[in-house]
Amino acid sequence: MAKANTTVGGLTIPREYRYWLGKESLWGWLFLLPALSALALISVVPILRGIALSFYEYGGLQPDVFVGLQNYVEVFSLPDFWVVMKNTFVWSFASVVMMAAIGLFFAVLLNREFTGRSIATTLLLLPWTIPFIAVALNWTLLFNYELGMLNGLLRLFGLEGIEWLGRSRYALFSITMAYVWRNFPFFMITFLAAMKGIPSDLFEAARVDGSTRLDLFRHITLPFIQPIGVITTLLMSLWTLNHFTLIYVMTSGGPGNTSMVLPVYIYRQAFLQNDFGIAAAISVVMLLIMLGYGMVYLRLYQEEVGGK
Amino acid sequence: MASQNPNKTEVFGLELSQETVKWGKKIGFHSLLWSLIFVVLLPVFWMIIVSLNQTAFDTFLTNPGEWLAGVSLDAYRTVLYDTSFPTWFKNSVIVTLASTALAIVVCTFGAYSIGRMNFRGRKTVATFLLITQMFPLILVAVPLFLIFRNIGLFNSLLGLTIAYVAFVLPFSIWMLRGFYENLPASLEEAAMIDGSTRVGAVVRVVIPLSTPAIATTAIFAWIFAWNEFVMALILINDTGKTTIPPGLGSWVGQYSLQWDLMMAGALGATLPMFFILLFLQKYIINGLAEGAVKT
Repeated sequence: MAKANTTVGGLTIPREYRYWLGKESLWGWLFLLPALSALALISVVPILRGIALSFYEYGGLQPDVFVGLQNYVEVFSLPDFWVVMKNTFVWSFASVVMMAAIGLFFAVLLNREFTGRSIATTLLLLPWTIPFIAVALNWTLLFNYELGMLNGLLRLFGLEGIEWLGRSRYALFSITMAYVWRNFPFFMITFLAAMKGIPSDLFEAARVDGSTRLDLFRHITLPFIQPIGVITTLLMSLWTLNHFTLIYVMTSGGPGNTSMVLPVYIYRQAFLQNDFGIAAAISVVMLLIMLGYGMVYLRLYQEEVGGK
Repeated sequence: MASQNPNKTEVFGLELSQETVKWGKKIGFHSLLWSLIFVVLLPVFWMIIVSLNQTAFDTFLTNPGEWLAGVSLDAYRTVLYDTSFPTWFKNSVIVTLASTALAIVVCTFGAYSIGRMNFRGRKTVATFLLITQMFPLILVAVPLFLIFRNIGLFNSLLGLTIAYVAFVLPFSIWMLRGFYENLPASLEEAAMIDGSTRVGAVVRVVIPLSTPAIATTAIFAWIFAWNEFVMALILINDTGKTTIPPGLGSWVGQYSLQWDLMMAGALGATLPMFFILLFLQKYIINGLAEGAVKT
C-alpha cells in the first residue's frame, strides 16, 4: 500500500490528506496570498526601490541621476559614519545583554509558587506596555539635571547631580537604561513562558537525588529555556538595531553624534539633509549588517530556530 | 549538636526550627521581590506625581506636604481641551483597531497554511518571514515615503494601516504557526469528511479552537500599532492627521517647561495599553508558551 501516500503533480501527499488531493497546495497558497501581497507591497518593493536609489543621486523634482557606487564611497568617507556604527553596536549589544540578564532574573523569581504571584507578574510587565513615546518623555524628565528624580536621589545622598543626557559620556548609556527598563519584561515573559513548559517531575526527580537549587537551574532550567532564549535574543537584537523613538526624542543623537545610531542617522540624512541617495546607501549597508548577523546567527543556532 | 535534631537547623550559630527557617526564607523572598518591583515602578509613580503637580515635585522627596497642597487635574484638563491630543488619540485608535483586525485575519490564514497544510514551498515562506525581520525598518520607510507620495497614500491613515499590517505579519505568523502545528489534525478532517470545505473547516473548527493564540496575535498587533513612531513620523505630514507618538514627540521643545502636560499626555497614551495588560495578561504568557517559543 506504500502507506497510502498519493502523488499528484510531483507532490507527495501523505495519507491523512488524500481526501483533498492537489487542493492542498492551491488552498495553501491562497491562504498565504493576503500576507504575501502585503509583504511584497510594504517590504519587498520598497527595499528594491531603496537598493536602486542607493546608486542614484536623488533629484527631488528633477529625475534622479545614476552615479554608480559614488554614494557608497561618500558614506564610507564620512567621519560621522564610523562613530555612528560604533554607537549602534555598543547600544545594541549592551541593551540586549542587560535585558536578557534582568529578564532572566525576574523570570526565575516569578517562576516560584507564592501568594501574589500574578499581581507581581502584571506589575513587572507594566513597563513593557508603556508606549516608547511615553517612556521617552518620562525618562527625559527623570534625567533632567535640575528637576529629575535621579539627580534628586543623588542630592538626597549628598552627591552631585549628573548631566545624564547633556554630557557626551553619559547620553547613550542613559538612553540604554531607559530602553532596558522598557523592554526587559519581554525577555521575562518569554523565559517565564518557557519555564511553564518544564515538566515538574523533572525537578522532583532531581531533588530526590539531592540536587541543590543552583544545580536544578543549571542542568534543567537553563537547557530547557535555551531555544527560546536563542530566538528571543535574535528578534530582540534585530528590533534593537532598528530602534528609533527613544534616541530621536531624547537626544536626536546628540550631544555631537555621541548617541547617534544608524536609524536616526539615516532619517536625518534623508529628511533633514534631503539626501535620499546617501540615506539609501547607508540603509543598504545596514541591511547587509542585519542580514549578515541574522544569517550567521541562524546558522549557529540552526537546531534551536529551525527545529520544526 | 544541632545536626542531631532533625527538626532544628543551625543558621549563623542560632538553632532554629525548620518552621522558623521556612518563614524566614519566605519573608526574605517577598521583601526582595517587592522592593525590586517598587524600584522598577518608580518611574511610573514619578510620572503620576509630576502630572498632578509640577510646581513642587522637585521638592517632593524633601517636603511632600508642599506637593500635596498643590495637587490638581489642570494638566489633564489642558491636554484634553487645549491641545490636539484628543485628535491624535482618535487617529491612533482608528489605525490600531483597523490594523489589528486586518492582521488577525491575514495572519490566521497565513499561519494555518504554513503550520498545518502540506505543500511545497511553505518552509521557504516560513524562512522568508524570518528574513524580513532582518530588514532595517528605516530602509523600508525611506522608499515607502517616496512610493506613498506617488500613489496618494501619503498623509493617510489608510496607508499607515496597511504598513502596520505588513510589519506585524512576520512575527505574528511565526507565533501562530507554532500553535497550529500542535493542534490535533483530526479536528478539521472530521469536519471535512462531513462535507465542509477547507475554508469552512478553518472558520468553523480551527479558529474557535485557536482563540487564545489569535488573542495573543491581536495583542502584539495592537501594541505595535499603538507604539509605532518612525513610520507615522515619515508617512504622515499633517499634525491633525497624525497619531499619538509623533504628536507627543512634537511637544518636546514646544512644551519643554510644562512637564505636567507632558506627563499627563504620556499617561493618556499609556492608559489603553494598561487596560489591555490588565485583562489579557494570561493570553500574552500562554500565547507565547504555546506558539512563538515552541520551536
